Amino acid sequence: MRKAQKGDKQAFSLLVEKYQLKLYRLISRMVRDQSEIEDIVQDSFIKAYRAIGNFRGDSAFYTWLYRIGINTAKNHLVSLGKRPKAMDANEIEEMENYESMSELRVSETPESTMMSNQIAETVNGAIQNLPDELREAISLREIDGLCYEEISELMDCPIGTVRSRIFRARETIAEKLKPLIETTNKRW
Amino acid sequence: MNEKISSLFDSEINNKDVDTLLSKKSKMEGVRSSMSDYQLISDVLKKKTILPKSNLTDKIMTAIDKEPTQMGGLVKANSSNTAVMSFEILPVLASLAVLIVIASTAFNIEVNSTSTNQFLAKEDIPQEIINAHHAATANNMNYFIQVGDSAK
Repeated sequence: MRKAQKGDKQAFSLLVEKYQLKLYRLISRMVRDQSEIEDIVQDSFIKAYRAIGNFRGDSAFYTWLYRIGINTAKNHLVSLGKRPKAMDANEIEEMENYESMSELRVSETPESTMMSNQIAETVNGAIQNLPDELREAISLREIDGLCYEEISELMDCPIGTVRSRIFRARETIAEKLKPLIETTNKRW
Repeated sequence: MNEKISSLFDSEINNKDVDTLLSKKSKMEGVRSSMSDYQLISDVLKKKTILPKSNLTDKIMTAIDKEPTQMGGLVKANSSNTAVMSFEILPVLASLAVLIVIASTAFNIEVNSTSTNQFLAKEDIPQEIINAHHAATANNMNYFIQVGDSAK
């Protein structure tokens, strides 16, 4: 964040990588067309880049980014002659935390559904085969949303060990996913 | 390296490690790829919809590369603050400089005058004149009071 604010485009690219899917999910609740969603996400990041100097850190970066995204989506809908629904902060938060797979407005094809299922099966299978301490560390992080410090207290180990366990868990799962991702990239 | 990316993904990375990651620009593609993989794993574990992998990051960064480099507001704010500060400090510095000049001049005069006086007293004035002066000068405070009274 600090680097991105100083104009480092590489640092900003990491923010793009980190938040693009979350923003995509948010916008997909307002706009149906996939290419339109991508355009809005892209515009939102460009606006964020132009205005990053105005970001004072009073709120989390993603909260600030999501507000830009929602305003961009609203403007997009207005330009199409559609009336965007007014949303308050609670609704925005609800949208971000929305986790139901069935209602996400992303156009799915039978092939993409099959790919998604295969990826989910691979990840879940890999998780089950992880050593206990790695499985517990990554579950506490990803599913329970705990920070490293909380995990270290729960697992009674140093933060460095938590960091290492989470990393090793991810690498092990990513290794199992690699062939599938390569195939997926060719098909998607 | 990858452990740092994993920490970055969780926003559990310190500034020094971010600098290390960003300093290896040739490896940025690998950094983004790892983050993309970690995001996929995270989405599955959180039971979120798995989105088709897209080249959205590339598209966004291509568009951003065409943008002029943004200097952050904080940086601007700091630099403008610095400018304001230097304007505010300027009169103080000027006053301080004047004081220093006055003080050093006065000190020099004092030192010079003292040393000159001492020089004169020691070298130029014969000792007998000094002794005569001390003998003729009243060292009793009452003398000056009486002189003051008689003057009235």
